Amino acid sequence: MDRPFIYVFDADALTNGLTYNDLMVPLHKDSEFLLRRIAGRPTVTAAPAAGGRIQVRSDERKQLFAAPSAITPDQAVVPELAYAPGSAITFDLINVLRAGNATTGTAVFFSQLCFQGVRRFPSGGRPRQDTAYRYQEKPFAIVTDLVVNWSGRLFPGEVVMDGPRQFNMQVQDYDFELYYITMTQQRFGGAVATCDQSIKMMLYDADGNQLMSAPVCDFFLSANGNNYNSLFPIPPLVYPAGSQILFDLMSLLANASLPMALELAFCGVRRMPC
Amino acid sequence: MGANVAVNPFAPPAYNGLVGGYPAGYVDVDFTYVYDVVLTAGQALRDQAVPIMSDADFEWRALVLAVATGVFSIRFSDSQGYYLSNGFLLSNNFLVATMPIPWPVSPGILFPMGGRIGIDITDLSAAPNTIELLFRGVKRYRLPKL
Repeated sequence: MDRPFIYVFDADALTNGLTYNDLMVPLHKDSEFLLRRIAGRPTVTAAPAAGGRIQVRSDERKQLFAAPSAITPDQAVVPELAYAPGSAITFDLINVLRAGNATTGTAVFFSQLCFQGVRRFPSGGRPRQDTAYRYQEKPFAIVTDLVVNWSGRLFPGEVVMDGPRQFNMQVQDYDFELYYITMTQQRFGGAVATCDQSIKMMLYDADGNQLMSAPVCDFFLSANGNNYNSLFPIPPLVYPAGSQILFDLMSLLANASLPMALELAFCGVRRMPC
Repeated sequence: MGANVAVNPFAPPAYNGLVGGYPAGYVDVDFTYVYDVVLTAGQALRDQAVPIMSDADFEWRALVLAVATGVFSIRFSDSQGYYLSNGFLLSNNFLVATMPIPWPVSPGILFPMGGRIGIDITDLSAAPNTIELLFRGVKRYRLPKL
């Protein structure tokens, strides 16, 4: 059984200008992890011309690059790389530079590495992919319009990080298979645009299982995102009729950008009886 | 019932998971060789080499221009000295506008363990040029015989 999953590394606690060896993202003990995508190097290191580099290792500590390198923002891993249960993704960061939104206090960082793939469980089969009735698939999007009216750090001061807010969308009438998510924003005084560097999201499957190790930046998830070739979930997820699409949102905004109108579109197919 | 597909048709193939199409007795592991160089204005370097490690063969599948502070031209050769082009390629060939994208090498070129990727390179920017090239591909490990 494969479950789409993203392991993330938040570089918030690192110091700009330093080099870190053997940073680690620990993996779950109950499943193998198949790594298929490494993204986000530009948000955690300086520009390549300024010496920003990364080195990533396999679970056997074999280097994926012959030397620390300035990999592209989005790098596919081909063939997929298996990490044993309970192992870790280890990596080095050379010349750290954390990306973030400036505030009146401490910046709200969106400095994150994204390790996307699937967790493979030994039980076989796929989770809740089957529908009990005969059906045909019809394209469908479940859209929700939200208002992000809280800042990334508590106002006034903007030093202490605020927590996530939980939301849900009901899946009505028919089973729904989620293929991708698009996000659109309108910050205070701004134009309607692709949601970028504004929120982090934690998505859950229909059984309430987390699909990320921590909330993930919008640009790693949104199929209409800037600068990244993002798409999630892979493989697609089925939400049965009567279930809910549950997700948490964290704000990455400075107080001056509030409120922000946010539209999330969960796009996929409905399984219509036939 | 619809097909019980395990792939997301909207996703790039690699994100759906690609297993290695390697020959029996071998296993492929994603790997990148890195070539770093700083050229002075107008400098031409000939017969540069990226040595291939002695633990596995390397199949080169794509080139990524990770860093270049100016324009340059380049020519590659394999371990037997076979040139991959009849002349020098401008670095702009590895960009879409200003964005580096993987420049595919198809079919992949196999470099034996202990071999070398040969490089001739010339600066065209008339200024110091810091360059990093990534040779994307796979290490092809030989599995032990049982």
